[in-house]
Order: sequence, then structure tokens, then C-alpha cells
Amino acid sequence: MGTADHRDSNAKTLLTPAIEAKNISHSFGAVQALVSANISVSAGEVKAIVGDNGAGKSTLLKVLSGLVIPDKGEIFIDGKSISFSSPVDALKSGIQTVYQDLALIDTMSATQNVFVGREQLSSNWILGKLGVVNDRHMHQEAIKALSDLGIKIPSLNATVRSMSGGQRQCLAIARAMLFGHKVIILDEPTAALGVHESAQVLSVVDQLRSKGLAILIVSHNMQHVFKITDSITVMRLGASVASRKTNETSPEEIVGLITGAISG
Amino acid sequence: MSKNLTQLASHDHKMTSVEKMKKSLSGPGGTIVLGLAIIIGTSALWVGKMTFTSFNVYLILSYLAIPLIIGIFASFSLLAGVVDLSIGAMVALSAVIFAFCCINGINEWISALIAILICLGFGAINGVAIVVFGANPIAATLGSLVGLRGLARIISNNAPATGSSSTDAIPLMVTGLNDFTESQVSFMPVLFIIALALVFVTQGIISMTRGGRHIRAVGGDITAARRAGLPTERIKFLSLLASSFGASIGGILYVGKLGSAPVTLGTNMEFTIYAALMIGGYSILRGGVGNPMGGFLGILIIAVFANLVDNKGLDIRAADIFVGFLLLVIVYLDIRRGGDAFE
Amino acid sequence: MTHLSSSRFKVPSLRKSADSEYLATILILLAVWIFLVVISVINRSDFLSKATFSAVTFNMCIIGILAIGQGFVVISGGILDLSITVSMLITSFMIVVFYDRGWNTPLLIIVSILCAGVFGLFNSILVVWLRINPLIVTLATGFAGGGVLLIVFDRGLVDPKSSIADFGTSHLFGFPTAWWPMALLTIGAHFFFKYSRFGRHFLAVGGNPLSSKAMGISLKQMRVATFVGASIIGGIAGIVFAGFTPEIRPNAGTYYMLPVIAAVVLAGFSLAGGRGSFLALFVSVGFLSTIPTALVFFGLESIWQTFIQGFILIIAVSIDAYRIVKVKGR
Ligand SMILES: Nc1ncnc2c1ncn2[C@@H]1O[C@H](COP(=O)(O)OP(=O)(O)O)[C@@H](O)[C@H]1O
Ligand SMILES: [Mg+2]
Repeated sequence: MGTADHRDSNAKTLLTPAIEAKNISHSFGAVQALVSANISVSAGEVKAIVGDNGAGKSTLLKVLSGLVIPDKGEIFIDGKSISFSSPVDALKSGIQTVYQDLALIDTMSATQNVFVGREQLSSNWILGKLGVVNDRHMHQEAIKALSDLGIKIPSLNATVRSMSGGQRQCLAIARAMLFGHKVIILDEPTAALGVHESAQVLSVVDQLRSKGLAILIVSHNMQHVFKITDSITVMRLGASVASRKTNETSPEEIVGLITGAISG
Repeated sequence: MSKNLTQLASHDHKMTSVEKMKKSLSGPGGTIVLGLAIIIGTSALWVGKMTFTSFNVYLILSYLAIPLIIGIFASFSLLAGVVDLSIGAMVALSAVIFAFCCINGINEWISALIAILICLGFGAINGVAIVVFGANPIAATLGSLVGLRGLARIISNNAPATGSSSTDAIPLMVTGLNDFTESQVSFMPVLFIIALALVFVTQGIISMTRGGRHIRAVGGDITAARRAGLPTERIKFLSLLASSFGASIGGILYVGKLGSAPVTLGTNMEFTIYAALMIGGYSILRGGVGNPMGGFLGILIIAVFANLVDNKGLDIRAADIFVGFLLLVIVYLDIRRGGDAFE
Repeated sequence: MTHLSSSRFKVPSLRKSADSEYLATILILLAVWIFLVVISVINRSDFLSKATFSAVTFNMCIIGILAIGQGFVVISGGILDLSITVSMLITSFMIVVFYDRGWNTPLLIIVSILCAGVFGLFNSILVVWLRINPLIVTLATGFAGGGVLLIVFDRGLVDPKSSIADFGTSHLFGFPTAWWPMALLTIGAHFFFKYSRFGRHFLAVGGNPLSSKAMGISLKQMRVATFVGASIIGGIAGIVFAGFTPEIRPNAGTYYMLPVIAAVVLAGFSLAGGRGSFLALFVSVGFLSTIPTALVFFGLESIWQTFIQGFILIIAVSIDAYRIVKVKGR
């Protein structure tokens, strides 16, 4: 592990981060989920966020995807300050999130899921005005996106309910890629998957990086983290306590930072 | 469109048409068609040739036309995952308001408009309770069911007496409307032709348009739909308005057909219509499933059975036994095919 | 890790206990009920009379018992029993049938309640073994059951000289005798769910079926017990119903179905299961049963009753839902 050849990160650190969040604080009633947390990720970079359960990882991702409006703090996209008032704002800024629950609609087909909320209309003028969708075109684009990422799904017309966990995860990622032109956020993408399926998802993440997207990924699996990421941010008790280049740290150090045995 | 679908399917599997037919017959569509075949067969055997006389077919179609219109509009809210139990009461309310206005000398068209608008208003109240406050749809629309039925009776009791002493119905013959509801093209009632056209249009909306996709998405998984940036609240609200609209149209048409507005109109109709729609593949427990063609077949099955019961001179409530039984069988088959089982 | 996390709580968690939550519901319902009585008295001082008392308590008898059965299903996670009035009518009709055969009273009561129990068993078999959702099962059996009742029994005439009719028309300790089964059942249900182990199991299964199963509670047994139990309670309502209804008609159930569900929802039972208080249910039944009489005293015809009941229900569920959303901070 840790010797992958893609980490020429010197050039990238000079870039402005694709997305950056500074001093984010947020409370749910009495629970302070985020305490002045910081995070940033650049184009072509894969960054892991690690931390114990309840450390605030998911909440931080939700702040970046506009689902949670933080009490305090600033968000920058390409160095420009921005504020999200809803998930739609984040989607418009090119940020796509794959949630832990994947947000796939069980009763709909794979293609329909990929394009839900962004259906392409028929090119025929009248049909288009009537809101008739162009299924054939969407189907082809979905096939293209999936084969781009090396994802194999037997039937795109079957409802996603019948698909395996890995297939569902890959489908959700493909959807994010198709519409996120800047940042892709993945919350525990391999948590529920077996070894083989995890490997498939990780290779998809690798593909995304080579397309120049910025990727944020939450994971509990140190092996996966060290295999795929360029850098790691550790969260503890709602704060981001340390950031490390993946090739300059070790799993032992990261675990120490997570538990608080080593202080950032 | 069907050509489109064929090509899409052949992208994935090189399915032969026989294979495809087998597949669709083993699905919900097959069950419904089979159910329809069985019930028509039973009728043919039991009642005999009479089943197929054009007059009998006319009776069946005429019986189902208005419920079909109501059901198709109500199917929007089922699809969006909100059950609207108030449709039966809304039918009565619309009928009573329409008749009340007409009797008080208001122009028929304006009366109809008033009835529709008031029903939409109550549909909006359902919408506010369910969408804005997040009330359980079953509980909230049950409240409307009780309340609107009460309101229909109040209005009916305050209608000026016109000859007949009963307060249970407002007698009213709107000649034009009556002619319209009774008119037919050969053995097909015009109302049925309209209802069928509505089925096809709705089928197109649901399966081919962006709006239809969005309704199905909201019903299928509201969290996912919200995250995809869909206006989930607005979609649910509009779907509730659609079901109120259908019910109000149904009420007005019934006045035309019956020549009066009975306050008991549409009693239990919500249950019959939802049972029929469930037989046709919709679900009252989750949205996102079912299509108008299936819904039509479900309502047709029940209409054919009601006709059978009628022809044999049995009590019409015997049809309820059949509806209940068939509902259980269909839902059970759906579970066997991987539908949502309880626990 | 937990002790560390808790240091981030700005204030100590003040989670309200379930009891105090129910107490709030009870007090609010009581306040609304008393308010209704007070404005009725201000409106017409003769509202507080023996006649009013008798009208309200008679109203409570049937709705109250059926509401306890319905509440039992709701709290145990069985969603709703849409066929509970069929259980009631089965018992009422069987009483007439057995009475006409000259059976003695205790025997015919027990056997006719058992008939309702068999109906409940049928429901639960469909729920447990065919795994059909209870809402659909009871919708279907309610439909079919109503149809069967109509075909088998056109109507049932209760002999006015029978002890059943006596029971329905006499008084005991100032209340109608028929009121007492409802009161006793309320107290019984309250203690059963609050203190008995079996009752706790129902609450657990209603609150979270999967973890209850993981803890070793048999879901199947609990579901069977729920639907048989609800039907038996429905059967008890059937006896009371036969007591003061000279002529029983198969469609009598439709009148009760909705007020019963309204009472349960108004009492704060969560349709998702696991939450509800039978004392609150008693108050909610009392409040709903007072409305018709109060309306008459306001010079409104009693037909206003359903209109007002319906909209009280909508407002109540909206407020309830809004409160839950706010607590969750969504
Ligand atoms: N919607 C919410 N309401 C209340 N508390 C929440 C909510 N979401 C998260 N929390 C709390 O915030 C803290 C951080 O949660 P989360 O971000 O999910 O942690 P992680 O993903 O790192 O496990 C936890 O204590 C959690 O209980
Ligand atoms: Mg998390």
C-alpha cells in the first residue's frame, strides 16, 4: 500500500482548492456536531475524511452538499466565497454527493434513477414542450457513463431494487459523475460491500480522479483509505484535528489521531 | 414509444418477443389480465350469452365510467405516495354543492365551477395538513372524509325543499348534463370513451413525461427525490389537488346521471376505488408503483363482477366479498413476486 | 467514546419521559373537553343535566370500546384494523342467533365473542403467514365480512325482554350499565400496557419490530395476539351494541369506523406504533362523545357533528405532526 504512482501531489497543492470549508460550526439542538471544522480538496485529488462514529464526518459532508446549513463558517468554491441555502445550490455549483443510503429510488429503473430530476426532453419541438422525455438518449448516455467507469450492470431497464449492493453503489457514483463537474462526495461507499465489490468501487473512484474531479470520501476502512487517497483529514469530536499526505503518514498514526492517542 | 422501448430492451438482453411476452405475463400485468379473463369467463358461463350483448356491455361501461374518471385522478396521489381517503366524501360534496347552486338559480356552468373550486379548496386543506405540517395522509384525509360528508349533509338539509320531502337528496334534473351522461356511440357510453381517453393520456404523462417521472420518483423514495433536487412538496400538494379535482368532476357527472344529488353518494367509494387500483397494481402503502392502464383493468374487473352479481339478481354487496377476496389474492401474488411483504 | 461525546452537550439532555408526554396530551384533551362543557353551559345553563350526562355516556359506550381495540392494534404496530366493526357485528348477530336457540346468557356471550375471535384469527393468519400488510388485510376482510353479514343476516331483532336488552337499558352506580365495560377495559388496558410483561412486549413490537425480534420476542405470536385481541374487544362492543340496539343492521358499522379512528389519533397514538395512552384515549372518546349533544344545545343540528369532528381530527394530526417535526429539528 501507499506506493501508488498517482501521487505527484506537489503540483496540486499549488492549485486553489476546488472546494474549501473554513471554521464550520453546527449544532443539532444540544449536540454540537461540528466545532470549527476545516476541509479542502483540489481538482484531481482524492481526500479521505476519517474519524470515530459521531465525529461529525457525515454532518460536514452535508454542509458541503447544502443539506445542512451551518451555524457558522465559510465555504469557498475555486477560492470564491459562496453560501448554499439548499441542496439544489450545491448541485448547481457542480457538487454531487453519494449519500450513505445512496438515494436511489427502488421502484425506478437504473436509467431513470441516473436522470431523475434532470430528465432530457424529446428533441421534437412539440413533444419537448409537452414534457415528453427522451428515454433512448438518456439510456445511451447512461450506458456510456457506466462503461466509461468500467461498471457492468446487466440490465439498465430493470428496477434498481433487484441490483446488488456494489452495483447500486456504482450506479449512484456514475450518476454523480455524470452531473458533478467539480466535486464528488462519497459517504462510506464501501461500508456495506464485500471485497470484490469494494475493489470495483475503488477503481471507479480512481477513474473519477483521472477525470480531474475533486473527491471527498468518508471511510472507516484504513486499507481502502491508504490504497486510494492522496491525503487524509482526521476528525475528532466535531473538529478537524489533523491533515496528512497519505504517502507521508501511516495507518498507525492515523488511528492514533482518530482515538486521540496522538494529538494533531 | 413502444418501438423505443423495444430497442432499449434489446440493448441489454437479446430477448425474443416470446420471451418478452412470457416475462410480462408473469408480472403484475399478467395477473390482472388473467383476473379479467377469469371473471369474464365466469360471467359467460354463469350468466350466458347475455354477458356479451351490446346492452350488457353498455351497462358495464356506463357503470364504470365515472369511477374510472375519479380513480384516474386519484391515482396521481397514490403514485406520489399519499393516499387521499376523502375522495368519496368529496364526490358527495361536489354533487350537493352543484345541485344546491343550480336549485338556487345559479347558471349550471358557474355552479359546476363553484363546486370544483370548493373541492379544490378542501383538497388544498388536505395538502396543507399533509405537506406543510407533515400529517399522516391516512389520518388527515380520514378527517376530511368525516368532515366533508358532514358538510354535504348540512348543505343538503339547508337546500330549499322541492316537492320531495326527503332531506337525503337534492333532486335536480339538468337536462343538458343528463343527455351528455346518457349519450352513447353505438354500445359505448360517451362518458366511457372520455374516461378511456383520459386513461391513455394519463398513461402517456406517467410513462413518458418529465412530470410523470417526478411524481413516480417522489412516491418511490421521497428522500432520494428531494436530494435529486425535485420540488417534492409541490408535487405531493398538486397530486392531492388532482384527486380532489377528479372527485369534484365525478360528483357533478353523477348529478347529471342520477338526476339528483344524494348525500350518501360515494359512500365507501374511496375503498372500492383504491381496492380496484390496488388490484390494478397500485399500492396504498407506498407510491411509485402502478400505471393507469392497470388501474383501468382493475376497475373493469370489479365492474364486470358487479354486473355479474346484478344479472344474477344477487345483493350488490356480494361484490364486496369478491373485491376483498381478489384484493388479498393479488397482493399476495405481488408479495410472492418480491413485492413488499409485511415483516 | 461515549463519555467524550457527551462532553459536547451544551446542556444536559432533558429527554421528556413518555409518561410526562402522555400527561401533557391528557391535560390538553381534558382542557379542550372542559372548555367545550363550559361554553355550552354559558350558552345554556341547562346543559349540565341528567339528559346530557346520559347522552354523552351512552355515546361513549361503543366508540370507547372499539377505540380501545383499535388503540391496541395501533400501539402494537398493526397499523389499523379496518374490520373491527365487522367483529362487533358478528358478535351482535351471533347473540341474536344463539338467543333464538334458547341458550343461556353467559354461554351465548362467551361463544359469540369467540366467533369474533375466530374472525380475528383469520385476519392474523393472513398477516402472519401470507405476510400481507394488515391495512390491506383488514380493508379486504372488512369489505368481504360486511358483504357476508349482509347476505347471511338481513337484520337481527333483539328480544326487548332478554337480559342482554336489560343490560343495555339499565343503570348502575349512576352510569348506564353499558358504560362500565368501557371504563373497566380502559383501566385494564392502561395497567396491561404499563405494568405487565406481555403488555411491554406489545409496546416493543410496536416501537421497533426488528429489534424486538432480535431480543427474542416472537413477532408472529404478537401479531396473532394483536388481531385476535382486537377482534375480541370488538366482540365486547358487539354485546353492548346488541344491548341497546333493538334492530341490528349489517351496515351499522360504517357509522362507528371513523369516529373510532379519530378518537385514537386524537389521543396521540402514533400510527407508526409503540406510542399511546389509554387514559388519553378515554378523555378523547369523552370529548368526541360530548360534541353532538353540545351542538344541539348551540341550536345546530346534530349533523354538524361529523363536520366538526372531521376538522378537529385534521387539526389534531397536523399539530401532532408539526410538533414531532420540530422536535426532530428537520
Ligand atoms: N439530524 C441530526 N439531529 C440531531 N443530531 C444529529 C443529527 N445528525 C447528526 N447528529 C449528531 O451529530 C453528531 C455527528 O454525527 P455525524 O456527522 O453523523 O457523525 P459521523 O458521520 O462522523 O459518524 C453525532 O453526535 C450525531 O448524533
Ligand atoms: Mg456517518
